[in-house]
Amino acid sequence: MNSIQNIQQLREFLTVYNTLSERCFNACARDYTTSTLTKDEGSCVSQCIDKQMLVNRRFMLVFAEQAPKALFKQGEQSPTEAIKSASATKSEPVSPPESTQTAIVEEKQFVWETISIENTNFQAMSIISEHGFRMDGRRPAQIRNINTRLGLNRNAEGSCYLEHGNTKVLCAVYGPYEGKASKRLEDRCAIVCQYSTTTFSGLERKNRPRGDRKSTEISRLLEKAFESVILTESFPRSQIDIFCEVIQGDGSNLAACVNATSLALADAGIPMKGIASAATCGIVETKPIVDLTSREETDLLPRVTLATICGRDEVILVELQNRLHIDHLSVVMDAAKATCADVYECLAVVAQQHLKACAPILGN
Amino acid sequence: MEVHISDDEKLFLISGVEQDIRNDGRTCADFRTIVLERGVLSGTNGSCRVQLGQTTDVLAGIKLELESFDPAAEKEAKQPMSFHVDFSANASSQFAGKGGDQYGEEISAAFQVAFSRSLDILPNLSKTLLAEGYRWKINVDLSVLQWAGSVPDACSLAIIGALSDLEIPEVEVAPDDGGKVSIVLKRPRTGGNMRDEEVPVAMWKLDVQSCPMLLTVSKIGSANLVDCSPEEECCIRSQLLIGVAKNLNDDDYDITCIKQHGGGLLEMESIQDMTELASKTAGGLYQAIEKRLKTEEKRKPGHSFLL
Amino acid sequence: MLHNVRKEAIMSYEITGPPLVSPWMMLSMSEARNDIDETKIVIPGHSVCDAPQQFMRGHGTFIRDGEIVSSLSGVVKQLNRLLMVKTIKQRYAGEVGDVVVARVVEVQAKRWKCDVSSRLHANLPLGSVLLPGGDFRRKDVEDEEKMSGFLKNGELICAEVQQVQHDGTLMLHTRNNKYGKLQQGILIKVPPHLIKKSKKHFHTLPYGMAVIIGCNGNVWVTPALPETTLEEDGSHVNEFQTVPQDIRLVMVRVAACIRILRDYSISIFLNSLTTCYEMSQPYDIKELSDQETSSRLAYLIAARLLQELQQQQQK
Repeated sequence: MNSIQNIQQLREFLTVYNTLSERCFNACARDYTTSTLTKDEGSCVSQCIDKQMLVNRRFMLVFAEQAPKALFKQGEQSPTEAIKSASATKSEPVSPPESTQTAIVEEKQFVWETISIENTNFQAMSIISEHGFRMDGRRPAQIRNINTRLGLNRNAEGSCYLEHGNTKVLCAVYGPYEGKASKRLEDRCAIVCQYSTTTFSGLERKNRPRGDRKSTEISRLLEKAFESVILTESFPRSQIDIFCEVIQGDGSNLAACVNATSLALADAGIPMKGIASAATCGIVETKPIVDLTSREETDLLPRVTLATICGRDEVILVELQNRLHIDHLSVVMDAAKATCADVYECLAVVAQQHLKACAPILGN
Repeated sequence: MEVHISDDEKLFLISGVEQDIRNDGRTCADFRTIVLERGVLSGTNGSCRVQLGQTTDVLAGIKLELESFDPAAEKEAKQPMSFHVDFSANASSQFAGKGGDQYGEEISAAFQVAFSRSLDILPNLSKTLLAEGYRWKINVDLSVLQWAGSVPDACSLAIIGALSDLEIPEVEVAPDDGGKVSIVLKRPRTGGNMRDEEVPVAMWKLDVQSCPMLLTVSKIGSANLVDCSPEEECCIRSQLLIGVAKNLNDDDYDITCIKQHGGGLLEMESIQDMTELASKTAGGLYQAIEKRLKTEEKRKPGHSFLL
Repeated sequence: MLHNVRKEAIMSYEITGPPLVSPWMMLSMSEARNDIDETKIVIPGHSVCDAPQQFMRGHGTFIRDGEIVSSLSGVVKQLNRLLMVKTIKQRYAGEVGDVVVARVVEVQAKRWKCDVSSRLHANLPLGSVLLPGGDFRRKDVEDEEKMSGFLKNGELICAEVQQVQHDGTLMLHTRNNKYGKLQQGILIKVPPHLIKKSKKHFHTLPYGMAVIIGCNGNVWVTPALPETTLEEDGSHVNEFQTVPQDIRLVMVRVAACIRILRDYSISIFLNSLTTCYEMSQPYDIKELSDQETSSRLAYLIAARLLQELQQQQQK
């Protein structure tokens, strides 16, 4: 009985393995002039395998959930045994056929090692693959592409549209102007912030674009952060309005808002201590990952949003979500700080270029 | 940006439209240039951005939802679209907080009325009804990102754009135990060793060539105007929101709703004139939008659209 | 009837895609941009100078870790040993002597509050307006009661900045009959940094109309320059005349020209305006708001202006 099962498992594994290598070979190998893999092919192969393994792992998870139910009916195995056998199917070590390329063999063995260690933690596994890639193909410390456009909004003094990958944020700055008497401060200017998200921005449709507890909280956070960036005492009795609209949210929304706001403020010519930049970082096992997407955020992952001025040590905003082990705090903060500095470099270039384009032609 | 203008400026503007010269060089029946772009948001089932004269800027996003309803409770089939217009504070500080809610609700309600008979108007909309008690709900949400007058007109163009961009999955409905039904996404059969999950789900699109649109026609002085700027909106004596839909049978236009916005007195004859202007305008817009939808270049999904 | 015929002929609807190149990018490559020294452009937080002992820090700078750092986005200016940063784009900050176009937003006791698109509303005291009886007339309680008869909420005035108070509030005056209430016309708002300061801000153009280029970014296009004449009771003489069609068409074209200069951030002064007006002649007024036409036109205008400037410098 046992040996038959083993043979069956071996057969299953080989089918999986053969389809995998065939697929990767068809998809990735392009250059037949050398016996070794080129650099491009190598990375393609490893990403291919990552993807395949990820799918496999998802199946396993579902299987682990569903199998006990089915098996219980038959009365053959207990749930725990079913899960064990399920994972055993996966991690059966088999020596690969000799004809396959060596690169794949190495990857394979590596996979085998990590699976045995991290089998218990499916959730963490799905965020960073064995090869150190994330779901969207980024490395842990890599930020998404940042695209910006300043000065879109003709009604506002300063405005900015900013993209972090698929997160798209629009920010407008009105003022400083003589605002409502109720908000007026005699010694400095008042800052009013409003954060809202379009109803279609998230995965699920929202009913209200603003006014819920979370948006109000983020509005307050932004308000406080920028009160310490703007030199408010140079505009007594005035008011500055900052409006952020998340058009499409794909993680790190707060960080994107901070970045968009600093650019919009720079566009409006408001005196500041510097350009603020922000990043959201999380931690998987002990490895920090930066600039999270919404798929990475939905997991129960501890994450920190940090904003600094000019990429230096001056912190203007910290927000932690979920629980974080105290030992990990410094790791996350260091990663976040480094990312803020990276983001700052991007923002500074954009702001400077825009400023040049803004200067009136023949103004002198 | 609250717009105040003085009596003398109003006088100048009103005497201008009566001479058929508006402050930006248009005639009374002219629209500002319209920019329309579809497929701008990868997180939605359909999306569209419309700009009027480079300032009024509206973004529409559609999210599909599988909705169960009680067929016995509805006397006649309800149309599956619901509209929601939101004024972003980005457009103007007067919309901060609840500032834009009232106007937004008014426009949403007007769209709801203009589209109330859309099951009869749009040829293949009834396909959204999947089985007894189940249908696709089409949530059309509009966000006004920049404001310079004529929001309803921009919204209706954005709605048409987004509906034409909308892809609805094909499903197979099979009866299930206990009077229920099971709804499964349909995937075309392909050869080769593609696994089922990798085959893209078959999609279908709405036919929007007769989609209703809501136009504003304003009475300023003795003239009727379309597509008003904020300054012109200050001088409006009376404004009508007119829903127009193309009649595919006789190639003429049907009025689906008329609603007065704001106050003001109107004579019966003026209403006649204004609806005539609306259907004439709709004719031009239908042609223009059809042309644009045909010629719009395909972009890769998720491209950055404001750059 | 005549109007209807015209309508049929011109009525057109065009739906296009977004422009491939955005307006501000269009001219960023133009030669006219070369007068801006890129190395002098700073953004907040950028170091202006790392030897603070040799320089004095001026406006728009602060000291951080022994460096002079900019707090503004703008251009570094050096005056002997004084380093300062001048903003490129900012809300209007008034200077004494500026001609502004302002809108009355509130009538208070003894003064009007005016919106000059500055940080705070400007004040126009009752004592600083022209009232019948000349400068020596004392403003009494009766005048105070009639204040909204002189100027109402929402009305546009043209005034001069008399004083800038320490908190930045501007004090205006209209004690000259070229200032005062503005009547028929078109107001176009442009960012104030595009207005080039010159000796004259009132211009009667040779096309049968006039413009007032307010330093605060409000440009007023009008059939004729205001010349305030007052009735016995102090209210403005109100003679309403319909603006004839030919003059109106010129005004609308000038307004369209100002919008082009604004959209492509070309500085606005008499010469740029007339150049733009003359070069726009081949086009229909409606065409001027068209992306393609306006960008081509703006490019040519910038080139022409630059050429004229170079010729002047050679002389």
